Amino acid sequence: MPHDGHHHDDHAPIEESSGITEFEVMEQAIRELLIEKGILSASQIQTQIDDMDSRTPVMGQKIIARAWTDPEYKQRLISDPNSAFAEMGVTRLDENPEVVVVENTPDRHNVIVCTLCSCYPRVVLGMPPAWYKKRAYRSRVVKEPRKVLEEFGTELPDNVKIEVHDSTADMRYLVLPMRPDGTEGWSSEQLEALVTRDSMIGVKVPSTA
Amino acid sequence: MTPRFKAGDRVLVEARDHDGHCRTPMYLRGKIGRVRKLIGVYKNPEELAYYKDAGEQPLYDIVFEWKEVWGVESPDEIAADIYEHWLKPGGA
Repeated sequence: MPHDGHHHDDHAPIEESSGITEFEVMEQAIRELLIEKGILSASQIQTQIDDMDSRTPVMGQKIIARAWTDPEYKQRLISDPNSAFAEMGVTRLDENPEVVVVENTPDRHNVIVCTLCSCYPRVVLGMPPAWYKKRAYRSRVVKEPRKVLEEFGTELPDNVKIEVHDSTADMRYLVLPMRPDGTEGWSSEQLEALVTRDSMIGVKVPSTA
Repeated sequence: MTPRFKAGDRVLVEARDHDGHCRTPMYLRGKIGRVRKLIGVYKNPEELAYYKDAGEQPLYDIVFEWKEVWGVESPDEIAADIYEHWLKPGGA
């Protein structure tokens, strides 16, 4: 296609030009006050931001793939998630909310949501995707989960019971998806690639297709 | 504090209003569920959010049947974590 056939003005501006919001003003004011009063330092805040940014679904992928190949690890992951996470190098577990691992089985599928805000197993998955925080997902998945899952391309047989976990309080939930058939003998790297972020939220299932 | 409920108990989530920070979703208020387990004892977020000297509350994993919450038949279920001060015995 010739270059002059492109449109260059279709997307949202790269930088928002509408000024800062009320919440941004509030955040900035509180942050500056905390620093001024010596309660927190700027470097402590930055360390915390860096720590959060360093957490990605890759950690969850490694944990789930190991659970698929190591039955004893899987047992520990379900009975004592923190020790299983620590084994895989997850740090600062004490500073993060506790995680409950919910296992998918041939007749039970788990999906997670936080209808009240955006609670998410950040310690092993990092920041939630934008849709997870949207009102549409939060209000619909507790009311019409099969329809929402279909929109993600996930069709569950009628005999599979869906359990929607609303992360209302101190616990965070992580879905342990089922290992797909036909993956016997696959390497850890191959298995990790099957474990998507969305499958650990429960809106998708790992697939070799 | 000694937890009032145990696994298997039917509990009613109180249908009352609450101003300020609260972790009991509206759509489960007034609904009956079953205690799956006691999760533990945690500081009450309704006080903790305002830096008050928060008392502790047992927190339960409660499972709700679809029909109870939405009035339609379905094998699906909703599980939520609810603090004890929102729960009453829900009958046999």
